[in-house]
Amino acid sequence: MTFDQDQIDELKSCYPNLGAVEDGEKSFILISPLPLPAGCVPQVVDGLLCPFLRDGYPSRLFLSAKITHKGQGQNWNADGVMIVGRKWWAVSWNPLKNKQPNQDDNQRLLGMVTAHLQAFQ
Amino acid sequence: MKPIIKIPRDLYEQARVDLLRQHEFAWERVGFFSTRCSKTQTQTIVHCVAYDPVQDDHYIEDSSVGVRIGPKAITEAMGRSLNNSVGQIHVHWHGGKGLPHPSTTDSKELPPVQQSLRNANAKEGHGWMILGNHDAWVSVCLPEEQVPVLESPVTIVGFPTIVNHRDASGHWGKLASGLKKIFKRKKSDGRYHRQSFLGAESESIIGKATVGIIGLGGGGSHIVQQLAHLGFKNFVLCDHDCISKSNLNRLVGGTLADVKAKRLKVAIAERGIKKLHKNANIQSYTSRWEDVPESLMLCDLIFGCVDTFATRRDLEAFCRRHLIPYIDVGMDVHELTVGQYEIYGQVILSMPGKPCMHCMGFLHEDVLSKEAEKYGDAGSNPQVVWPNGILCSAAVGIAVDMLTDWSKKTRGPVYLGFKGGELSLQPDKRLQHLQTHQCSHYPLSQVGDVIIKPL
Repeated sequence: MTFDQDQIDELKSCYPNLGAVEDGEKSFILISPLPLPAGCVPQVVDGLLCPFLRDGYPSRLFLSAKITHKGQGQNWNADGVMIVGRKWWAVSWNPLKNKQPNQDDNQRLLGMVTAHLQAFQ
Repeated sequence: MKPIIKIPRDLYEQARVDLLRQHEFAWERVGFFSTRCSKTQTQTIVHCVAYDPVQDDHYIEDSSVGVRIGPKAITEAMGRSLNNSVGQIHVHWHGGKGLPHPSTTDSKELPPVQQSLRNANAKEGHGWMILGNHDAWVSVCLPEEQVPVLESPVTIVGFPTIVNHRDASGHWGKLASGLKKIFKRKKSDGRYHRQSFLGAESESIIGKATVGIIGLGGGGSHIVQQLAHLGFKNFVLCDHDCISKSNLNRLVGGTLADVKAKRLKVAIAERGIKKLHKNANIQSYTSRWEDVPESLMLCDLIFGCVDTFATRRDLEAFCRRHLIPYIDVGMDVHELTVGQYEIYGQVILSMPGKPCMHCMGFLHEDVLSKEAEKYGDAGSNPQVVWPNGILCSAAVGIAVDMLTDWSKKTRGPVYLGFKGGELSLQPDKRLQHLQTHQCSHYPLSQVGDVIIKPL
């Protein structure tokens, strides 16, 4: 799987250190570091963006550590799952759920990350 | 510690067929394995992930040696190493039954080839290898080492899987090992006499294999029990749970006293093994399997007796990355109509390089999505002892056949479906379309430690 360069550039404008990692036929984007919204503990983790359908979610954002936060995404359903040789944690958060059909910002890589981070705001 | 070399059987066969072809003037042929590594804190595993023959016109006519390849062949190997971030192992064929040995010419001419490859790309491990019929002699120089390691243990992963253990290094080690073998032969007490049809070497093969078992409940308890009876002595066991009263209907070896003592399931399994092999080498973990990847990476085979599809997916991905055969066992009781039940189960052998559980249609996004909606909670689903017994017996049979090749029949993917009402365990119909199927989900190019490509 390859990513559109313009989307990578857009994502890099916010998160300069990106890496592509492959697991099976799927390509993930490693965001290291990934600063989290205010109120999250810890404040900075590594993120693994899964920009494709996984476990019923159109996209997922896995974090390298379990965090505490005051956002709406309080249900987690991935705790210590192994992807690309590391353990990850993720909340049950579907950013497409409350979107209008014409709002396609969150189909882009940066939009996906932003939408997932809303779970912690 | 010597690195372990792993070669998928299909690659091994590809190399063998190529190396045995006649050349216009050369007496032997040469090829190169591309390699990737997995590393634990103490052990490096070198995985062969591709084979490239040396082109006919890259040989040089030289009657003083069996084969000589020219600079173009070496340059190509260097290019593959640099372009694909892989190691290169020069390989040629000697054949023979046991461990092949290098000739004087090999020992003189091939180390410089190894050094040339290292000069081109010092970040990867390079070497040279001599293939025999069931084993290989290898010299490999890892990036962090200055001196090549000779005679690394070699595993051929496939149908059958051959694990060639090496005895302690050095002549004294070999002598000690030889004496030990003679001593053991004298001591043989006929314990495994009734299973001698598994092959003359089966006792040794079984006794040296390391098996991982994830989940020591209704499924895993059957498996560990049978493996111990068969003579398996090296285990990596993972289960964080303690036995509870509701486990007693199916956890083999569990007792009321264990429930009262809130005994860990791994402790019950360990106790069962130790009653048969007091010196068994058991690594028991009361954590999740994801917490002990380094121990599992060194297993020759892993059984998954887990509750969720997501865990199966992740375990299979882990095993594929480290070239470990994975055997999945599971069952579920379904209420078809009110009061009408059926038991469905499966035993799947997921062999690296062969169709995976996605290819077989067992794992797909639908089942993973539905499971995720329930937060991966398997809940208190009905479970019962005998289907687990049937499924796990089949799984153990597959493992023994894979390691000993006693039946000489297991050559393709294995997916057995179980129907409790019929007490039937049959190959899944989808298998007929998968005999020559190439798995696209887990390409060999992704074997080994994860590579992060900067974007």
